[in-house]
Amino acid sequence: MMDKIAYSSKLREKNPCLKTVFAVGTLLLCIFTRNLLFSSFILIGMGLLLKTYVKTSLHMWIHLIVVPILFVILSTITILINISKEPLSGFAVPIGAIYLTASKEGIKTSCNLAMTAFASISCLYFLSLTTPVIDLLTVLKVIRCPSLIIELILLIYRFIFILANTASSIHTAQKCRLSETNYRTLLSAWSQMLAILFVLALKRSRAVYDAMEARCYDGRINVLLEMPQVSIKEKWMLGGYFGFMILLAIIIGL
Amino acid sequence: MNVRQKRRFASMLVIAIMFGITPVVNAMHIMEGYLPPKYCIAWGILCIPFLVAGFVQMKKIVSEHRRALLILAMAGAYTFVLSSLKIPSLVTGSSSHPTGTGLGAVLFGLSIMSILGVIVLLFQALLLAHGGLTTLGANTFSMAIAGPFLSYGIYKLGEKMKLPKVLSVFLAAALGDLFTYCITSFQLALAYPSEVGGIVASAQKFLGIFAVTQIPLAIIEGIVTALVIAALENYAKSELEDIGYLKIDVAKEGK
Repeated sequence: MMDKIAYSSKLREKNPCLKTVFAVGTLLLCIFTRNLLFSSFILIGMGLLLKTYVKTSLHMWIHLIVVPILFVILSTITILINISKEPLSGFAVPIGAIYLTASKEGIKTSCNLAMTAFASISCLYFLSLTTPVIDLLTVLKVIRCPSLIIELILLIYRFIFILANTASSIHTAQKCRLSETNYRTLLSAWSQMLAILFVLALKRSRAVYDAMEARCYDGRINVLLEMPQVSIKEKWMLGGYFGFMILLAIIIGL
Repeated sequence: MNVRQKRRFASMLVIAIMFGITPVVNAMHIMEGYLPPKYCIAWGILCIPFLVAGFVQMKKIVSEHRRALLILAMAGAYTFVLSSLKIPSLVTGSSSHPTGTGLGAVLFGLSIMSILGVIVLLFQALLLAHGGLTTLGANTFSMAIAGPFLSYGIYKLGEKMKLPKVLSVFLAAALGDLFTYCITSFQLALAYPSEVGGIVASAQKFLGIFAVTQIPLAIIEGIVTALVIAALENYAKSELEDIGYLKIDVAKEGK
């Protein structure tokens, strides 16, 4: 999971609001301009930032890069290619009586779209590879998200790891007992695991409730959230950055 | 090769690549940055009434039963883990993620599922990079609202028609899954109508391409969900009754 990398990133200690504003702001700019040049600029910038501040294995990088590329290529091909009896201006591949074809404008829009998607994904990666979810809760608090939702997110986040661990150990145990011999045993092992996981999850939640009750839980989870200060220099840098980017977007847009 | 052979080769190559790539991709989520801003906003606004209803419902349940908060959190985590597991697919030999919303809707009820769904989608975007922040609205609508809505409807209909429980759960999960993927295709088609034939042609293209993985996946998810419910009925009756009040309140609210 990407969260693990976020804890060891060099930007971990920076103020989460600052990082969120930076990442989401860039993301919004990128989506509103939808321009090939501007997006590639953002993609390169984000890529450099990630390379300097986030350290992880090559294997993980490849995984992080390949998955979105596949999705974007597939969807963009779907948007690009038309099935028609008349060839369009871009290119045309005949299959029997019909053509797989695309117009020149279509190719241009698709390139814009693919690049915008890549740049937006890099912004999302910046946020999730430098900011652990727990830090994002502070951001949610700042934007006045209801406390019930924040508590729910906190608890779900904790439980995800407990359940994922349980699921993977059950899976290992099943594999030891030859659960993957054929497809039928595999499916039945799967469903047994999910059913047991559900029972264990409920049991766990009861135990957690009892433990919380014993520690004077009164319907409100109070956790101290650390909030690193934003220095004036950082504020100026962020302001300058967005000023520059908006200017750039306007120039390129014209 | 002469020109004709080359053309044939090229067209075969295109088809082969399409089928080759499809199985790896998790087609249910719309990727970050893939929708134009107006669609992001429109789908987001469309979700708000459902989310508000879910939130009010949840607040009421939590204030009545304090323990419910923990059960809700576990339910959310369970949905997340379920959707992050890779179910191996029979046909293509690859694996794909189930949506898990069918099971969620049958177990926890509708309005709860919408709120849990948003949180799960947020986590999927941040922890697994499935989906994204700007496409959260669109993904929420297809996966946390439309899919569970249909699943729950079919499940209730099955109950009324006195179908065997396993069958109605199977239908609910499988059709809910298919419906989610239809909505996703429709969302993409609406944002990017085809140059020839407009929205309808575009929707057909998306449906056609994603059908390769999604139809077998929907059937498998249906089978697994039905087996899970059957197993739970067998040896976890008391736990099912435990979460029963989540749904009883929903039913009362409905009246």
